[in-house]
Amino acid sequence: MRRPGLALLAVLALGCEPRELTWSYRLDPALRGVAESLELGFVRDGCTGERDLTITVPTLGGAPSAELPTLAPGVWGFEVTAHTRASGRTPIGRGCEAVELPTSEPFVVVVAPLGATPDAGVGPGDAAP
Amino acid sequence: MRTRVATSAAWLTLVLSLPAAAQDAAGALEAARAEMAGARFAEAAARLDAAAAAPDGLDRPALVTLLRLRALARHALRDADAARADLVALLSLEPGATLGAEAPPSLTRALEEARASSGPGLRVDAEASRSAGGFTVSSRASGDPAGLVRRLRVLALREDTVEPHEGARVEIAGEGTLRYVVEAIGPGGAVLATAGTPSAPRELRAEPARVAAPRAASEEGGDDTALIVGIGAGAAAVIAGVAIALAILLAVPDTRVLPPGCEGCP
Repeated sequence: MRRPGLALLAVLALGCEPRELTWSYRLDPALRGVAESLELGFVRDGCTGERDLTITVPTLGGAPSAELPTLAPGVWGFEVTAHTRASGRTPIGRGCEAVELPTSEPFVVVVAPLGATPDAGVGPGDAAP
Repeated sequence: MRTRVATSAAWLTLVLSLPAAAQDAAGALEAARAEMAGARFAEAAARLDAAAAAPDGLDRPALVTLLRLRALARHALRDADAARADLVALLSLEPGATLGAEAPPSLTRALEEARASSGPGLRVDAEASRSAGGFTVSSRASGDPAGLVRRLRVLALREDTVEPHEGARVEIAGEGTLRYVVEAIGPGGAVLATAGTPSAPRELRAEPARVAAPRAASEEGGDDTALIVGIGAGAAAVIAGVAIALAILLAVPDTRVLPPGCEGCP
């Protein structure tokens, strides 16, 4: 009687354990050698929803400035915004991938130059997230 | 879109309205660097202290440079505790920071020791809710072992203006959708971390109109009300227990997001 109880507790504990998600980003060739830092945005309800958290990556390919979040189940937009030091807060490239969590499938966010997106003609800082 | 353009213009106005102290800060860093090259470490440290104590003039990269330089100066002055405090502060801004070839090996060792005991980097979290007459924005900075954060600034992005507020909990008048950015401000007025950005602010959207839930009809109790209530309560407890167990068993786990890899980075 005691063993099934322990087994049930173990199942419950495993059921609550967060899964780890591996992902990556790929810069458009036009941004390679140009982009110097990134912002990682986590957008609730997909790429057009409410941005829940923003974390900077000060150096391209380097470590984020803060621990990345643990996200609740549902659809989340993984947004990557590219900057240069000269551009300051104005992004030069952006990409977003909507992913339904939980998933263990790795995915890639493709970061395109803002001038090449459907927002062409609009100032980069004014493009819809 | 017109709103975003107008707000960006207002933002630009706000940034450009900052005093010319930014140039002064850049000059201070250069002057301190020159003083250190001439082994005048006390003068350099004092100059950097003054730049950090100024209400504005520094941005984040300048503050990172200041902390690096001051750690070197304080180390040269044999003030190990103060140098370590700068290293801890530096790591809270840049967890992967290095000191470069100009740093003596003992200071590089101190940096690695500080890194080994450092936590995640500095960040700011914020949450907005509706309140009477507007919104309440609650903000909190974390990952700040060196106490870099001087204040929290909430910028409400209006159609044509950027409205600044200060504090960990601010009330903002308005209705409809709130678009806002929260900034953790540090030494020299540097923005250390943000929740939301001017181009992608956080939003608390207008609530859709809700239909009021029908109120439960009142029930009249009979002679056996107590019995019925007792049985009902027992049944409810059993159902609640089963429901909780099922909810846990069927719970969908959260997802821990790992740092992204970079395809094609050098």
